[in-house]
Amino acid sequence: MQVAANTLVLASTYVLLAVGYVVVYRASRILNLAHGELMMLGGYALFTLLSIAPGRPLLALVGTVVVSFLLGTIVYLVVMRPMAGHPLFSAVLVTISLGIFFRGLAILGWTAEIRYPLALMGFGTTSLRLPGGAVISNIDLLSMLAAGGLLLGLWMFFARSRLGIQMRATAENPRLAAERGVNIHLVFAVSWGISTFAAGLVGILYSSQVRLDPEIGVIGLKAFPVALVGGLDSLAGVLPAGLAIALLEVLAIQYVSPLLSEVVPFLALLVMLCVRPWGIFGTPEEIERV
Amino acid sequence: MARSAKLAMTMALAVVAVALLAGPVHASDPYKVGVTAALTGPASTTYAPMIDLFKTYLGKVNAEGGINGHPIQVTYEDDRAEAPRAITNAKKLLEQDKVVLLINTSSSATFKPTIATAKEGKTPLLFGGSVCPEEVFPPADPLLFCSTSFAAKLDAEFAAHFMHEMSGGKAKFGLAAMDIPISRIGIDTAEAVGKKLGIETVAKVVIPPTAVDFTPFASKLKEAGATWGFAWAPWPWEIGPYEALLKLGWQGEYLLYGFQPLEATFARLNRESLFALVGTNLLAEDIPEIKAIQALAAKAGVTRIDLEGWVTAVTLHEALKACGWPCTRDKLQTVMTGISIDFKGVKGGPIQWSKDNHFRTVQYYKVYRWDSVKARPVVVKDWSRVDVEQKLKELK
Repeated sequence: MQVAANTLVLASTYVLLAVGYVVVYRASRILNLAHGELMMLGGYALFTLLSIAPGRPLLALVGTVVVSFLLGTIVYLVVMRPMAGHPLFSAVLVTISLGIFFRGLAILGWTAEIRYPLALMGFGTTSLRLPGGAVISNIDLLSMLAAGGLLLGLWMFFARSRLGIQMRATAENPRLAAERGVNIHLVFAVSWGISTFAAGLVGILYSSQVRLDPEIGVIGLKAFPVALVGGLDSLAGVLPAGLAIALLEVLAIQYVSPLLSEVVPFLALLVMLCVRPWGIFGTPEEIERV
Repeated sequence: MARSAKLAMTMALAVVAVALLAGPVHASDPYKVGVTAALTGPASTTYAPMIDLFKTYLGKVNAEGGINGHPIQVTYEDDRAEAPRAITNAKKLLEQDKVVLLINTSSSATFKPTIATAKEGKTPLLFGGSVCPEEVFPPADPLLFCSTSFAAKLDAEFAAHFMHEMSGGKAKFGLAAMDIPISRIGIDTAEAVGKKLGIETVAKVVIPPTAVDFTPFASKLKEAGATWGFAWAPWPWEIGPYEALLKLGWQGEYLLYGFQPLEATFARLNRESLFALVGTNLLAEDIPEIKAIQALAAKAGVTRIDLEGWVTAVTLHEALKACGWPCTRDKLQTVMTGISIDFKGVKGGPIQWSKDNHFRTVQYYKVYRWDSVKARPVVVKDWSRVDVEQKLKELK
């Protein structure tokens, strides 16, 4: 039972992170390799807001997700939009540079000291016993709720809202969408905003449960195979891929060797690339562009 | 007669003039020392605070006139814990800055190139705050020295004995390490010593640097039935499994090496099941020397106090004092071999190097745990003396 609980908790982190990769890729065909660092900045936004307004955790939490969304749109408008017309490869390289820049920025701004925002909120981690004897923490539960809520919210947004439909249209054919009056730069900016909003959620949850330092962005890369296995252009693929990779990882730790957990996501990716390169729910056409 | 008196007068004046001109210059000539440290990058979390306190101590020494009028001039180079940068730094410090001593305060990835450069330049190299490399243990390399308090094998050996003693011989070890060689050496030693003591190691987890969640690793320790956990790793990989074990409702005891974030973590977690093995006193101790260090650090604006930086600085100061003036690389190496350095209220005893042992002849350990009633760390085991050479022979 604990294996199942551990799987769900790990999968929720992967899902939250992988959603960010997919949303940006669907809209702009860019692999954002600074996603982990944007997650880390979400954690620092929380820490800063809590330091500025101590004793007001709700305000800090809402502020963090708003700041994260705005940060994503700013990154698009300032850095990625000028890359329009350049090869996609160049844009991906720019995101790598951005990641390095953000890490440096974090060290300059907050030093390399390990922080614990949850303690600043005046809260602690509490354990919740599940039927079957498994134990998770209150933050784990929030992580699962956040992942489920985000997937549901995005599904409704893309299916029902005007902007969501415009985003799907842009993802399918940006030129045609632009000709039909869709403001594609707004669509791209909102995509980056949503992606960074999701990263900000992980930043809040991870820094509350584990730690916050300028190097935690490295976990963003662990979720990259989840996005690829699910299908880079498919939000629907994120959930099964996240669950499958988390399960393989937890089983490897429990029954084979803890060290295998590092390679399991990439092994799964390798297998998927051999048998179905476009991922579980991706489209064959898309992977050719990667 | 008048001519010879005139000549004598002229010569005397010349001598006085030379003395007047040359004297002040000699007095202010500095001892040149070079530091290659992880001041930025991932490892800076550990090493940068050490350098801050190192600078604070040397600032005090120089403000008080240096060593017989000679200030200690330190050139700091950032290696980000990367080997290529470390080799560039070491070469620059040796060839361009002409330092008499090289100090490494960085991760083990930088050791090989720094050691090679120091040997090439026949310059003593002090590991201060970084893990002591194999070469400083008997039989020691003549040029390499180490003042760092922690040492994987010896710490783990002491830890295994401590857990055995605390559990009345009934412990079941659950060991955690980060996937780096030195951390694995630590838990392998604990397992081997435990076996000799009749203690079973029920689970051993080596955690990758990119682990997203420590819970699956902690689950393995808990489900194996570990009653005593021990970790020897960089801080996040030591405390991470413990916090995950707490989340899982584990009721055992946990021992780790107490790095700089220990005291804040003790207070944050407020758990009596957490024990820490240390090589320097904690800041919470009511010891005049520790209070003086805190006051000095506060004055210098240093917020994170890592006493390893202080230990390195005192070591450097004492070595240069023993070297006298002028101090050459050869002379410094000679005086360092055989020196005994007293850290007054900071450590359990002096660091004494011998011809064959540049780690130290005697290692001192103290163990703390958190007392939730007193809301402060308390001593569980006061300073214990470990004969290094004898212990290393036993471990072989």
